[in-house]
Amino acid sequence: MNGLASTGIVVTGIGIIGSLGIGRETFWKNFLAGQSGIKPIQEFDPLESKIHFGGEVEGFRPKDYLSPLVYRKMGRASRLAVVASLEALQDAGLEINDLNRDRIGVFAGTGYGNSGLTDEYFVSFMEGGPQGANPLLFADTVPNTAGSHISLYHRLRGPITTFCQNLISAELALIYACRQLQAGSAEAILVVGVDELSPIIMHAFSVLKGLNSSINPILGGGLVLGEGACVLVLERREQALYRRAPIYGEVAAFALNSGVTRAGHFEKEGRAMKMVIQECLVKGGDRRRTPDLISLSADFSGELDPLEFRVLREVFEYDWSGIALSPLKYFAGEYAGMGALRLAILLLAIRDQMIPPTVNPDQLESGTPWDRRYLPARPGEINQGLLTGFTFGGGNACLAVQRV
Amino acid sequence: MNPRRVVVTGLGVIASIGRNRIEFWKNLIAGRTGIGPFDLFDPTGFRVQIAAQVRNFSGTDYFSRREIQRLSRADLFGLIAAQEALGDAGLENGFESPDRVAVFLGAAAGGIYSTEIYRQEVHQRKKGRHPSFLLSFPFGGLADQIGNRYGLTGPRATINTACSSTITAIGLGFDWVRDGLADFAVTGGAESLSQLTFSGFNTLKALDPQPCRPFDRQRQGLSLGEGAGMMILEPREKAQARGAKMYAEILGYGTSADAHHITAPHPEGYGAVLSMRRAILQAGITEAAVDFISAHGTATPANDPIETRAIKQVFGERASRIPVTSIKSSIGHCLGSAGVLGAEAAILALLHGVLPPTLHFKERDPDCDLDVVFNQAREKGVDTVLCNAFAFGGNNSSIIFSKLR
Repeated sequence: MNGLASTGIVVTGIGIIGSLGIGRETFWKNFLAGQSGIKPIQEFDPLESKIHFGGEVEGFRPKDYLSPLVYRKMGRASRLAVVASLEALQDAGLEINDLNRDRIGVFAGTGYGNSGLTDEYFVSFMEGGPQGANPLLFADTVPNTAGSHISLYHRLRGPITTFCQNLISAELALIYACRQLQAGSAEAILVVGVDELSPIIMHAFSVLKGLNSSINPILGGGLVLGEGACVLVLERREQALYRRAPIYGEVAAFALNSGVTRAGHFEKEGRAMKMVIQECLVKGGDRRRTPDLISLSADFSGELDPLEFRVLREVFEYDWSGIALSPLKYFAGEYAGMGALRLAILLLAIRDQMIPPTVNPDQLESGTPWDRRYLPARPGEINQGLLTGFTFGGGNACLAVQRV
Repeated sequence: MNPRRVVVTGLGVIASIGRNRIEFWKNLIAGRTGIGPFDLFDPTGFRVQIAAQVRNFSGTDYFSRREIQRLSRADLFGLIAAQEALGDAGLENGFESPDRVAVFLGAAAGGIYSTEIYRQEVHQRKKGRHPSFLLSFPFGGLADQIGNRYGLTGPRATINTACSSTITAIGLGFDWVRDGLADFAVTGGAESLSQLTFSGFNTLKALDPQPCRPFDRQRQGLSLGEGAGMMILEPREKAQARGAKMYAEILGYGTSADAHHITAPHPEGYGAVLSMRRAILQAGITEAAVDFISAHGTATPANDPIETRAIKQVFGERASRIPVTSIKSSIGHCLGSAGVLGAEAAILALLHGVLPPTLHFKERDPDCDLDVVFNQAREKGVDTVLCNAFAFGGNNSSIIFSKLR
């Protein structure tokens, strides 16, 4: 990747909670070690679902980080988001004070927000009738509450928004944050991608036959649900340099489009998927550039995975063999707001010059158990990373990041 | 690329007082309200039993039985409004470059009413609906429905910031068209009444047993409503070149967080002031240019005086001379689509020189001492309107439209 363009927006802080660990470095270390976050579900009884495993965050105790007064009314997604924001802000060394709190924003991406609490509220209504519904739960049923709790906790009054666009929710939040920072609407924006595992989400994906049936997932057998929160601190490069903040990397380019699909499905031919990657590369300055590492959307889906591999092969036909492909969802499970976590992993790979576990699609045969056939993590030069965001329903996103 | 001027060239509406923009506007300025008893679900046992429902509605009046199989009530509203808006903009036959058309929507509870029906059947262990009913569950579903139906392959996004969602979504569309990232934006949103929101606002005692009375001293809360509003945005030069009718220009928008409380607004309206000022700043105008305000005006005891205070902070001594209205007294609080419906009413006010009324006023509230257009529409030519939408989580949005100059 030569002659790079840039958005001028850098990432200076990362906070992670996920199925591979609580805390940025723990998660990263476990991912590099090739551990799997896909395990039997412990936190709830997945009653109505035939699937009893997923990429669950284990051992998350909000009281270790927050006062009960703060977290007791929050759903799990809100708790995960706020705790991840603590780590991200500390990492960025961004001190919030009365001079800057009006200029720091919060952009969230989530598929379903506090889905467990929302269902709990609705069940309280169904069982207790109009007088039995629990008012304490209602406030956190709106998906924007995860981002709102971050703004509330840190008293941030900059621009705020939440995207709910299926599996590209966090990618949209990242892209909109870059644009708002470029426009000078904020000094810094905390971008959070978050979702929680809950009985209702397990049930919904299960009855729609979208889930893999084996804890040792079958390739093409359907996705494995996960959960987590990742918060990234984005700011303009000049500001980060001015305050001598650590810089993980820079957003080089981004692109968005969509394909025409049937409800709940991916684009058949992958034409728009191909175009969104090419547009991102063009915006990044060179259409024929090759990223060192690609964070895949692939999620064990029979529709998506072969399509994504084919699309990438067509786009990078000139240098296919030199690209490392990282399927984080194979290790950690999937959630709708996962784009922020996937971008964080690209940036950690750039920081440590470590290529995380990768797959060779030629060895992945649909219908067979994955058997964790991956190439282990290894040192390698990574200057540029690319993230593909493809979702059922048709939306596509692509982001390129680079070393500063 | 230099920023482009962005105009609104198509409007589509479905609400309790009208199934299209013409009926909506006629009934709005005639002072009709859609708030009353409703039958979408049984409200027996609730403290409040009224809402603004789109009555006698059947999706088959608009689409084939097959087409509506997997669509929620909100999806249907949204598709109807989008169809009208595209037709109004003269784009019903499609776009030359569909990859340059963005679909940016807002939603709060969106199509959750359909999901509730399925959820109740599961809870009662009934063998009920086909699980495909759950396909309307994701909030981004309507953007996909519109994009896929019209073959639009530009960016798609759904913003969910509760009651301010659609103002932010229009702002996002404005951004993309202004900066040349898209040539058109289909923007707006849809919302249906649902048991979740109806019971939720009931439990919070935020509903008025009578049709809501924004800015009235006796107000007791909001009335819920449902409906959809869609707008077509495009660059002014392109609209001119294709001879499109132009309703208004978008000048700017702003968002902010209260950072105060998850449901209650900041007592001094700090976030509301910020969002209004950010919109004015981006619009490149001064406060003096704003001559009409389409208020959030929910009629809750907390919102109206705080919004009044915020308007006074922004507009100073002029605040009491700027006409203000809240159409929620006519169509109820449509949550996710409240913003776009208020904005469409404001745009039609710019066009016709008539300001829609705030109904059910009886007694002046000294804490809401603005020039509210009480009870009757007012004939008054206005040039620039500010629309507010504030939400749970302290998520505020404001946007400014002006007559074409």
